[in-house]
Amino acid sequence: MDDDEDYQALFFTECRELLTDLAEHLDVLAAGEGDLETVNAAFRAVHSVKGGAAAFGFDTLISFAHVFETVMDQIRGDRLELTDDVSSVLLRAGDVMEVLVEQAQLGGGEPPAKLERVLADLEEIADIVPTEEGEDTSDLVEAQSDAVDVAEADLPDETVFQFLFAPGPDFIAAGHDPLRFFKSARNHGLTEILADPEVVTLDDVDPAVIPIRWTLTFETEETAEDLDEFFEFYRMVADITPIGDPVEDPVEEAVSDQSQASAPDFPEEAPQMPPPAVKPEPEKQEVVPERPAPVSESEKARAPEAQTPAKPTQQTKSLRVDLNRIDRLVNLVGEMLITQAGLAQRMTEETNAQGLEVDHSVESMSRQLRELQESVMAIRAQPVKSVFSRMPRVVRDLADKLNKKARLELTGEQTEVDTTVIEELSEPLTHMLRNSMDHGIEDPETRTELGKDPVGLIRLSAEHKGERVIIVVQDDGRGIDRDRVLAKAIERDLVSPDDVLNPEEIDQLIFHPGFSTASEVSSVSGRGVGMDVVKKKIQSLGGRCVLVNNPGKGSRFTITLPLTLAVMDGMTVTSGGQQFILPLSSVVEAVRVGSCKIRQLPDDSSVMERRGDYLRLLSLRKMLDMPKSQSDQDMAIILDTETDGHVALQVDDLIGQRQVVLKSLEANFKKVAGVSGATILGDGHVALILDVPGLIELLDGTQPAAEMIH
Amino acid sequence: MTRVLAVDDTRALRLMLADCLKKAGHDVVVASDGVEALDQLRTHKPEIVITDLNMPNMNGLEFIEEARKMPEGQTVPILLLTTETAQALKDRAKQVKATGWLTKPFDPDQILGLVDQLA
Amino acid sequence: MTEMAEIEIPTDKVATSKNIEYFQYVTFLVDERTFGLDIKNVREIKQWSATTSLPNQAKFTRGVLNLRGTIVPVHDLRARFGGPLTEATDTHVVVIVWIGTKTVGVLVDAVSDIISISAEDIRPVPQGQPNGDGSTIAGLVCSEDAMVALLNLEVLFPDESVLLE
Repeated sequence: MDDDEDYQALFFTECRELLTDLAEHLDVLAAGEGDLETVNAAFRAVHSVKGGAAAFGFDTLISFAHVFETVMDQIRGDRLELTDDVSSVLLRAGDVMEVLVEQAQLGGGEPPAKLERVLADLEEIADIVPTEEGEDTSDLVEAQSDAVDVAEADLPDETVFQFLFAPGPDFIAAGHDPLRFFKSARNHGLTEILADPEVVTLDDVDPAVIPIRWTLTFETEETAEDLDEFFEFYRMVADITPIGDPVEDPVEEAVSDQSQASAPDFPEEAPQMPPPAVKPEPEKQEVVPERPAPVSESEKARAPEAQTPAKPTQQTKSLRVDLNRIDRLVNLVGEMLITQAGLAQRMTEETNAQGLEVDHSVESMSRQLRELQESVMAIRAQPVKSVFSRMPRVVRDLADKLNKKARLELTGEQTEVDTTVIEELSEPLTHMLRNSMDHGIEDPETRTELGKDPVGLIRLSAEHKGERVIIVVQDDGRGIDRDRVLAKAIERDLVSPDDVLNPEEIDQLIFHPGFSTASEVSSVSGRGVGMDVVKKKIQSLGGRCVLVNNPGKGSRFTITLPLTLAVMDGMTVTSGGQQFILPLSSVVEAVRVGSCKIRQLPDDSSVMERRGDYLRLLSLRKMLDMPKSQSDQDMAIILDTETDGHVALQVDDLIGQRQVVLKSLEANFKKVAGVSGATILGDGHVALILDVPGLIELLDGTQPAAEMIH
Repeated sequence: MTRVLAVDDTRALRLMLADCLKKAGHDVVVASDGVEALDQLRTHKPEIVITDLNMPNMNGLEFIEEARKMPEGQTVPILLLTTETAQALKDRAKQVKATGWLTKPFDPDQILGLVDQLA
Repeated sequence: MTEMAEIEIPTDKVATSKNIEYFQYVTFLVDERTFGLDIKNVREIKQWSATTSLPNQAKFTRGVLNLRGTIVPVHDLRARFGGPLTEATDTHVVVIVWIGTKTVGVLVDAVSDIISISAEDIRPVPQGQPNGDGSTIAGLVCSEDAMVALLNLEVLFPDESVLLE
């Protein structure tokens, strides 16, 4: 049972991948951009879900997937035209299947309301087409199916059965062995085997073909169906007919679908019959001599297969690799970079005669390592598409539930981000879309009155910006109603009625953990999860979330995330005798403190003048409560906080830029305010990676330093 | 103990099949598509093969057709295990010299029985 | 966790002559006092090396160190029991232990021995013990030359990543 659940868990993991693929393919098809391979891929996804569902007995899912599959099969067989209507049904069918998979995983739940509607639509589509049950019966082999029918219909319900067993020419070629067959048949009550006296003449003997027919007598308690089931496996290559019925000469019949197992390299198996003309023999003949290199052989042989009922092969070769293996590689490369940095450092310390040459080698090694690292990271990179493609469904579902109309416009789906980031994106994106649908987009009537398009527009985009990816969710709804937000915040005691807040501060309230609670949220936003969850999640990924509210016209959430959670470019600085890493993406410039005008403010804080602007000047040493060191805090690093503009961070010294491998503090410890992680320096010591906005929050006391027991 | 090659692109089903066979004491190698299966066939020379039909890269039928051209695959029993029921596909299976056609969901006893019976 | 449960077997349980299960404990010294840890929880023992301190770290936390590529926090056991920070030198050692799923370093003066004890050897901690609530010590064992206090790591260094949520 436990095992079974493991398989199920695995299956559901796979299902999610399949459903993502499916959604993607269906979108492509709906956009009219699909080709046969897209249809095939979509079919295969549905089929695989069905296969798994069948294995685990998820009945609702099986029957739905079956109908869905039938429709897909008709499309790929060109028996059904892919019209806009059909596409739209397929899209909805994909959504329903996703819900059914989720329910199967959760072990039940109300079937989704649209299940029946979509099922009916699918059935309607399938029935329009003049094909019976969607099964391709065009080239059914009459003789064989007759034989089956006869066997089933005419067998007397007695304990003695007699059959004529005539192995076809492929019997051995198909992996059977008459002896094994008789042995197994004995378990089913075989009592007598009589060889048929009619034997081919010696000249015609083919050692690969069994020239004999046998009459088999069974005395058994098994029913005709039981025996039939047993025979089922042999029917493909042998004629098994109940005695007494006129049957065609089995040898001749079999010859007609003889295909050529025996190959020229095996002279003793030289084919008895000339190859029939129906088969694409020339290609095969050509292929046979290449036996020692069967992969290329298989590749060549696949081309002529295209017209067979089997699907054409996929063009892109890909390999599915366990993420853990890649992680190990990433770690290893990280370690190598560290070792290399250590080596390089020692090289500069110990200059000797060959120093220059060795230096040179160390340098190229460094370059190669970096390249290696980039390649490894590229393996982990995935287009955000895998997450984005799930979002149209979210919007469709919400539109249904809320009786609103909206369309989702996706851009930059090909933007690649590290897979660890991708995995974490789905949840915050879903929340943001829910927020837009629930609170942003107005109902169609209101929109019409306002002179807006009754169909709301939500844009979801992704783009690279330096070492970060920017994801924007923008809607053209009513924006954030500041009066309502403020009223609610006062009601929830988040702010006092006397507080004077500027509009942006009011907007920020929606990110407050206490803002959205279960008592208030609609079924859509559900479970009392609000935008605070989004913010927390994004921050935990080392990202930022910025809101621009345009009341009446819409809102825009901009998420900035690191491309990867594994490596980053950093600037190394020292403070209080310890090295720290600042994310290079937030470093604007570095200046000597002595060259700038510093002013002390009455509240004991300082500002630094820089090109006519005054920047807050913060001492890293003081912020982190580090001991004083001999060196002066001579450098100021000007940083972009993303939320509070630029600040100047005063440090002891600037060491330089380097790429660092991110290590988690949380894995063995906990989240430390002001620190986003750590890295290992060339000498094996740990350096902390500073989280600039976090540091500022720490300073401003908005987030009390996490303190401990005692 | 029989050496069995289990081929399925769905990881869960592949593992389930493999484990079912392993528990019965068989020696199991796996592949996730036809191309891989050919490789496994060559390297491990299984005594029986159980393969899915719909798979990327190279499907079950294509695999059987290729396998039958290889010395290791010429007479090895190859069972197709699939949810497909179309007669055309079954005919095609016969053409490429599949040993048998099984319908999913698979019945472990049936599979194990067949392994004993055929290999 | 499970190890702890095993230790808490009541001491009045009659010891049978056979099948007494022995547990191995690593013992180490802090200020002449001997502490013990189930060997199953001890991952390795490292010579002290400089750590990287963290902003706003707890009084008894010495910062983090690099344990073959993973970042491990190091706590000062003397400071944890209310003493001053250890003036760590090359002779001091860091006992790397598992606490649940996390790896943590504990700075002690020196490692002394590995002892085998059965559940029956473990005495409960008398109430009113100095050094806090007593639950930081899972039990006491009299070995040949000293009283060994078995540490309850989960209480000493709770997993705060869980608490913060």
